[in-house]
This record gives sequence, structure tokens and C-alpha cells, in this order.
Amino acid sequence: MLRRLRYPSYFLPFLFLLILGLLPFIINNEYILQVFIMFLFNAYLASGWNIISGFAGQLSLGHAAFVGIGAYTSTILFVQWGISPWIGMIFGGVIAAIFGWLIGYPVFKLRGPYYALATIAYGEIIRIFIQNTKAVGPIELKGAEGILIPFKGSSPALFQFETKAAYYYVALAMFLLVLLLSYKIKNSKMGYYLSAIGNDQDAAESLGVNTSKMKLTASAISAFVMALGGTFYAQFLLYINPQGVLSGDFSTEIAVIGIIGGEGTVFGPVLGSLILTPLSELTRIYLGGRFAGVHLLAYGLILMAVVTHIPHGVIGTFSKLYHRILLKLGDPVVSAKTGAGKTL
Amino acid sequence: MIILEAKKLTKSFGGLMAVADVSVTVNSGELVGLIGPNGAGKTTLFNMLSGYYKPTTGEVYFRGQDITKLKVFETSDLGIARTFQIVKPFGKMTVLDNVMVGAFAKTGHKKEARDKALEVLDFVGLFNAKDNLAESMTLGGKKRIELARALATEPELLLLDEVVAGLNPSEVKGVIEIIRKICKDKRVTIVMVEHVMQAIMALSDRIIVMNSGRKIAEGTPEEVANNPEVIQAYLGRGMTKSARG
Ligand SMILES: Nc1ncnc2c1ncn2[C@@H]1O[C@H](COP(=O)(O)OP(=O)(O)O)[C@@H](O)[C@H]1O
Ligand SMILES: [Mg+2]
Repeated sequence: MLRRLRYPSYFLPFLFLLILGLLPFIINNEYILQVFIMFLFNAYLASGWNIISGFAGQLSLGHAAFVGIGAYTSTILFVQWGISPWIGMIFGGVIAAIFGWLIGYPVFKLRGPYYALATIAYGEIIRIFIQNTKAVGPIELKGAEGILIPFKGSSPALFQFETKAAYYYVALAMFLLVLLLSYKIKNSKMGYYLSAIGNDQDAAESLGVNTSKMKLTASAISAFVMALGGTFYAQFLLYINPQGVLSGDFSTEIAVIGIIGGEGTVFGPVLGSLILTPLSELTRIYLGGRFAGVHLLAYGLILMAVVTHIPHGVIGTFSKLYHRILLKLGDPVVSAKTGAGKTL
Repeated sequence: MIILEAKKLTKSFGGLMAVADVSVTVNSGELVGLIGPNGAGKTTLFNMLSGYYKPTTGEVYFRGQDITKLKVFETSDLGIARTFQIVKPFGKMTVLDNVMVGAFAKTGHKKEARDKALEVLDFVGLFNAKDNLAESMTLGGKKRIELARALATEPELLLLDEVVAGLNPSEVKGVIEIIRKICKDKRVTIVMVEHVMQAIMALSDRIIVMNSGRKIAEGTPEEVANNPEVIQAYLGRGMTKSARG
């Protein structure tokens, strides 16, 4: 393994990983570090979305619903009952997964645009419900007002840290785990089956693919991943409200990152986030609250450019470039394999 | 031994009887041709045999088991594979990946699926195209993908819906040879729908003829070719020439 690090195809990814790992030591500007945290977080969410919408080709425009379920579950458990968000995170994931599975039953009967419309609908229903509900029995949702999370100082066991660097490492760990999960799925029987479903469901069924079960499973896994992201979001911002974590804009943002990067690939969502996160963060800094949502306008323009010029996302172009760099560096592993090189 | 038995299958779409009271028996190891003019109900019959359509009335038995109500993927699990007359390749996947989806029916391991798929690709003559995107293939290539994918599931019964139609004469010869090998060497039972009489006459042990949803004749290729009702059915549609090959 170590000897292989001589090859560019091994040491380049290793180098990237090293840079990511040391970043908080290199950057001592809190604000820039925050942009990197958002980069990792958006890449994480888009990767979770990608499991059902990219791998299986079922375009969801309501994924904020699952992020919201995660955020609200761990936050309410923490604020009302003092349960650590680390534990609440798992609860939120499981509840979101069950919800993703159940909602799948009616929704997966719909195909193409009808499916996407249904996801918008349930995303909005959940947002409107929470926005207008103060409490359900003992559970205090607090409606549109949102929930403030008390800061207890540096207490890692309660998912609370004093430095941005600590949040950065949590985000980095989640980011690496979701990439590993994506990679494992993509290269397994399930990955092939999801891909087949995304291309042609009838043909997939004829080859023995239980398409309903596959989609429900992918939807549950995807929802689980989103919900964990929701807990991170809540603990990082220490405040959640339906207009934020459950908004349609947020759902759209997640999907656009995935689409621009290149849906259905493992690293597409990472590239999507690399391009779009700085954009949204910069507009937020320089335009502040004056033109809220202006970054979505920029997203829209980029989306138009991408779908008309590179319909498979930035990843295709990037893969070719990366491959060429490896060849230039004289990588023996890549040179041995002829052909255009696989999309990452 | 009887592998497939369809009893009095009927399928109506609104007022239209696409298939009416058709019974079919297929023996293990046999290659049965299914012919008939366009709109005769051949594809609809296939769709009922493989679970895509539930028959309005009638039953389907596979190796003695009632499969009438099974889902498509369940009939596949039992060992029935099919190809589609209107090809349905996984366009954005490579040829190899298309076939690997089929191969995963019998294994959970990527490497085994890949080996199996490569073997099948070699068999159908697509080995060199393995890294191409399926959507970039010609119609002939796509029909071979259909065949390879189905074959990779290691079926006992293969339903081929016009795999030869639309190919050029040299491709036709190649595919006929492949189908013959699947049946004779790999011992897979085959039912094939085909308009290309050259293919049907060369391959079939037995031919079933349908017209307007009904089975109108059944027998050896010679018997069927000389059956007055069959000639009439094709004459009525002006297809005498192709019917006689
Ligand atoms: N899903 C469907 N809905 C309505 N009519 C159909 C459907 N499928 C087939 N048909 C009709 O059933 C008849 C038989 O069609 P088909 O089985 O495709 O014939 P063949 O394969 O022999 O050419 C045709 O008249 C066709 O229009
Ligand atoms: Mg037909």
C-alpha cells in the first residue's frame, strides 16, 4: 500500500486528503473555515440526495424534509429531554428512514415529473405543518418561531464545540463517511440495480430487479443520511426554523448541487459543492440579508449553462482533465488501462 | 417434460381482444417459433407469460407452478428471461454494465458478475464493444445487448421478441447462429417471435401461428407453411412472400 503511494493515481487523492485534514491549521481565518465547513456539509447533503436521485434517477425536490426531520428530532430530544444530539442524531436518522420508506410507497408509483412534483408536495406539507404547529402533545415544535439551542460551552459529548475547527472535523468525518457509503453502493449489486432502474425500470424488472424494494431501500438510506446532516446543521447554527431547514429553496439547492456536479457519480456532488458553495457564501457575505436568495439566481444560471453544455455535469469534464494530469505525471496504473478512463 | 404451459389465456384492452383463448405448451429443450401478422397478439402473449400483463382470464404454469399472478422480477427469479421487441437498453450505462445487471441475478459479487458478463459478451460477439455506452450502439448492437442481458441471468426459458427484425442480412445470420447455440449447446428452452421467416424456418422445432388474437395453427415448419388457414391469414395482409420465406 505504502509503496503504491509512489503512483500519482494513489498519492494525488492522498494529498487532497492530507490537505483537507490539515486545513484548520493552514487557515486561521474563521470565516474562510466556515466556507469550507459549508462546502463539506453541502457535498455531504448532495451525496445523500444522490443515492436516490442520482444513482436511481428519481429526482427529489423535497429532500429538505429529511434534513428537517433529523434537525427537529435531535433538537427536541436535546432541548426538552437533555438527550445528547449524538444519540438524537441516530433517532432522527431512523425516523427519517422510516418516513422515506413509507412516503415511497405512494410516491414511487409515480414516474418522471410526477414523482418530482410529489416530492415538492410532501416537502411543503411538512414545512407548513411545522410552521403552524406549536406543539403536538408534549412535543414542542414552536411553529414559525423556531427552536433556539442553548449553548453549553465546549462539550463534545453534547455535540457542542467552541472552535470552528472542531465543527470542521465533524463535517469532514461525515463527508468522508458518505463518500465511502456512496462508493460502496455504487460498486455493489445494489448500485448496478439502482442504475438500471434509473435507465429503464421495465428492463430492470425483466432481469430480476425488484424495483419497488430497491427504490424504497435507496430512499430510506438517502433519508437517513440527510437526517444526520440535519443534526449537524442544528448544532452548528444552534437555531432551527421551518423557513430555513425545511424550505423549498433548501431542497432545490441540494438538488442543484448534485445535478451540476454530475448525478449518479460518487464525486459529482463534491464538485457541485466545490463550485456552488463559495458562490452562495460569498453572495451571503457581500449582499447580506438585502438580497436573500440571490445565490439561487446564480445557481439557476449555472444550472442552465451546465444542462445545455455538459448534460452529465462537471464531473465528466473533470474526469477527463484528471485523467490527463495522471498521464502527464506518468502514472503507470492509468497508462496500463487504455481507453477514456471511467467517470469517477 | 413440460416447462411452460399457458391455459386459455385471454387479454382484452377495453373492447379489443388482443389475445383470445390461447393455450400453449412448451417442452423443455424445445425451440418454438411464434408467428403471425402484426397485431396478432404475439407480444401481448409474451407479456402475460413473463408477468408484465395479468391475463383477463386463464393461467400460466412454469415447471408446474402457477405463475399467473407473479411479478416480472419473480418470474425472472424462477428462470424466465425475455427480450423486448422495442429495445430497452440501459442507455447511459456501458454495454458491459448492462450485461452485469443481468449477471447479478445469480451472484452478489461484482467480480463474478463481471466475469459472467464478459463471457456472455464474448458469446454474442459484443466483447469489443464492452466499454461503449449502450445508447451509442446500432440497433443490431442493442438487440445483442438485450440477448446478452437476458442470457446473463442464466434462464431456463428465454422469450425472444423479434430479436432479428431490423437487422441487415449478415447480422441476421450471426444472430440465428447465436440462438441456435443457446438452445442446442446451452440447453435453454426458447420461444421466439419473428417476422423474418428465414430465421423461424431455420430454427424452430415447432411453430405456433396466431392471427387476430387467436391461435390458428401449430406444427412443424413444413406443416405450418402448407396450412391453408395460415396462407390465408398472411394473404389477407399481403404477406405471402415473407410467410413462405
Ligand atoms: N397496452 C395495450 N393497450 C391497448 N391495446 C394494446 C396494448 N398492447 C397491445 N394492444 C393491442 O393488442 C393487439 C395485439 O398487439 P401485439 O400483441 O403487440 O401484437 P403483435 O406483437 O403480434 O404484433 C394490437 O391490436 C394492439 O394494438
Ligand atoms: Mg409484437
